[in-house]
Amino acid sequence: MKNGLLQGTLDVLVLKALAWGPRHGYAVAGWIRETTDEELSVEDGALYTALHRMEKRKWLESDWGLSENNRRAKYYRLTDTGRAQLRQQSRDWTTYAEAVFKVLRARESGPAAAEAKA
Amino acid sequence: MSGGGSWLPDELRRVFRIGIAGGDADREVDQELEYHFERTVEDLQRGGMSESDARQEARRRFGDERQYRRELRRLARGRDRWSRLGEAAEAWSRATRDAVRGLARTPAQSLAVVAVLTLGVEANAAVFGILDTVFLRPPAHIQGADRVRRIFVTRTGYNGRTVTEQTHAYPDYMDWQPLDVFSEVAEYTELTLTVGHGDEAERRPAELTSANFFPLLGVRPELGRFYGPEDDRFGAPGTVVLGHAYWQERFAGDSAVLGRYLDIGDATYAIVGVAPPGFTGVDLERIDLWLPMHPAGEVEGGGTEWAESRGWYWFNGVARLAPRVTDVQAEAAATTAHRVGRSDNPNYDPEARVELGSLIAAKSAGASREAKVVPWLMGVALMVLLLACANVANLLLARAIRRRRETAVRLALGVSRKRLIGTALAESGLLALAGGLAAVLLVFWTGNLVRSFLLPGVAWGERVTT
Repeated sequence: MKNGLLQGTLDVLVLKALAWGPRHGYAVAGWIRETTDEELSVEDGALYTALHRMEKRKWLESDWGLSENNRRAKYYRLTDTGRAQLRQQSRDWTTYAEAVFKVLRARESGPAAAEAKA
Repeated sequence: MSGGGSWLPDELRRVFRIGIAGGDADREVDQELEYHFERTVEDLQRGGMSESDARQEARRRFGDERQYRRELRRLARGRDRWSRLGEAAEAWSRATRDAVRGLARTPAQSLAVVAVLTLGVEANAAVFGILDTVFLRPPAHIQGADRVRRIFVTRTGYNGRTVTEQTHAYPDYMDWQPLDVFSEVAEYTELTLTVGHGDEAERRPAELTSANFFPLLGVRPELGRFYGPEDDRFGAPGTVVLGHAYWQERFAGDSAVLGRYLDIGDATYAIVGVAPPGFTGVDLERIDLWLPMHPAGEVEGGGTEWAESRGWYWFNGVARLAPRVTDVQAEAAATTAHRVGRSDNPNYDPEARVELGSLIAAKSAGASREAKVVPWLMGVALMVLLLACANVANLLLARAIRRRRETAVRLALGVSRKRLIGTALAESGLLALAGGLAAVLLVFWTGNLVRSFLLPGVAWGERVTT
């Protein structure tokens, strides 16, 4: 586990960050930090690598634009494929997380518990 | 790591749309990260940090900068190359389509250009074929031709003039035959003989050779066999090998021809084989009949005297150098043997020398006048090509001038210079391609005709020199 992040989850975080429209790399990093209340920290280098990799896979498109303070920044936005990926990976993640959650929240009960006591 | 052909100057790359050697991609990555660091430091400073602390924190947050930067550059360049290739391919196809349309609009002029180019290239191709055959290549079907030599004798004759001759007497050949410097020495002589009788009689070019002529050259018969040592003796039954073209013409390529008899001159010979197509011995003229020297020589030479007399300068010699023997060594040995052989004749030049010449006739002392002319022919053909190019350049220039207005309009409409240049190049390229192809086709069909016209002695028909 790198920086408190399960491997492979960085991609879905970035995809989600771009769900509302194009953003540049700095904004993506900032959004992730804010939204998780700084619980998840990502090495910025890893973040940019993820952005470039996903662009290569055609999940993202990039364009150079002017940022809020009139400086040149590289903006990323989701492609149709990227949007489909986001949907899929969100579903998978949610299913996975709920399953783990169920196990961790379980109380002793049911036939397994009866056996243990006996 | 960088784009292909990174040695090309950037300007050229831009015209041909080849990926700029990694420069653009790298720069983009740098700019992206520069923005990131600027913003990070600014925000941290606004939060109360000092600039140096902010920078440090920014770097810490980023991670191993060198490694990440390298990875990012690698990714960017890879993407770059593919997209540029795609762009380039698209640009090329667009340029070609434009070019075809442009040329089709002025069909007469386009055809004229192609015709001029075709003639220029065709002339060169035809003449080069001649050059190749006469100067550059050994005669057909000879193995290891670089070790085969013609034998010349240089001597001062009875009239005081020094000459280099390719012909010598048969006993001279006997002097050279046992020498170690040669792995094989053979004799041949060319004659025109009458085949058949009365109305059907025809005169055909023939060559009389020693039996080892064929093994020396390494040639294999197309059909049947060549005559061997047992056929090349006085009193042996006459045998003949047909030239390939003659076999096709007179016997329609019938393989049942073996064993039939031909009346040649005053004797009858059994056909034992057919030579491969294009085989003309050591020279380039067509040969229809190959005959063993002794039996045929007895008939045509009126007896056997020629085999012993030093006065019958009938014969040409060809020798294969033994392995690792140099020309100098071979010439020395042959000269000594020759002088010794001739020593019983006080009138014969004691300084007579044996010289070994190239198998390619045009390169040795035996070169004919026509052969010597060939390099000049090549020069003329090149001039023709240059003229053709000048002509074409003129035509294209006139064309460009006529299209000035069209070009101005296109530029005004915003078509990039690059694209216009691309179209112009494509047009020229297409014309050149068309001219070249047409020339190749033309040479294929008519090349041999042209060559027969320029150099009639050579058996062009059978040689494959497109």
